[in-house]
Amino acid sequence: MAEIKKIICSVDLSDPLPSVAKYATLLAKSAGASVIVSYVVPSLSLFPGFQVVPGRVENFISKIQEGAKETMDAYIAEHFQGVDVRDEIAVGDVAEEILALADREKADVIVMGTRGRKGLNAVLFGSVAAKVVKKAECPVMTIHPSEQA
Amino acid sequence: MSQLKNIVCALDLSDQSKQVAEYAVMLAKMSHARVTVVYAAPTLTQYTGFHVPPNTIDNFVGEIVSGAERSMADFVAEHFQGVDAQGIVVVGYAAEEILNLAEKEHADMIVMGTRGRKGLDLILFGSVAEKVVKNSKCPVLTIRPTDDE
Repeated sequence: MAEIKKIICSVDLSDPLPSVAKYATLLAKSAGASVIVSYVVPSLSLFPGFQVVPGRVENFISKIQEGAKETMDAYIAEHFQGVDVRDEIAVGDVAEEILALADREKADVIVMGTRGRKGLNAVLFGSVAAKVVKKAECPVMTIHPSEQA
Repeated sequence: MSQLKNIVCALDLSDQSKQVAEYAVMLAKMSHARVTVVYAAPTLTQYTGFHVPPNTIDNFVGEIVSGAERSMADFVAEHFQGVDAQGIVVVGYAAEEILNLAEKEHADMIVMGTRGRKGLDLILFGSVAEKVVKNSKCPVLTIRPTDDE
């Protein structure tokens, strides 16, 4: 029987859509579920061919991770009041990391925007949602960026 | 805080529709929402270029629709017990019909499967979900049905 006890809310902290948090919260409160807010730092592993000094990319990524943690705390404090919530920050391919987290946590549903990043990344993020929708074992709730909070 | 008042549940009346229905029922009960259950029958207008008398196609589509309406009524009676649900059958391109209906009904959410029919239809139905996810103004809950019941 369908039930929702654990929700993964995938956010793009670089350009968050308030409506994604809104629906995750709505769902969590109506179902009495807990939420894991997930942000994936893109790994930039696509740049090793560019002869960047070894260690530079890793350094940069860990700086971003530290910054992300602070942004995440603020985001959760603002949008997830009264919800049993924790965060999960990962580095890697966004879709793969969301799917792996959902698997590991045996999530009942993934909530995500159909895009969120700006410019070219907006196009890419659209394909992230498409990949997650196709591959996820659990249901996926997708929210269009035009949806108002 | 937003609420779910109107849910559109898109089904293909296959074996796996039951699992999709479960999620729509769960959400409806959680938020006392009304559900419009929809099946989009293919128009078959792509065959009008063949030398088939137009009436033959219309009659055939008509038969499919009245058959589908009976199946839909049975399905809703069996799987949407205790929920304010109404089943309808429309004719046209599935993604467009689902999106139009969602707009007309002021849907707060669309619930649908990512596949259902077998073989080639499986691929097509998958792309229906993808099209709905990309273009829907309201959130979409997609369910990838498991093979085992």
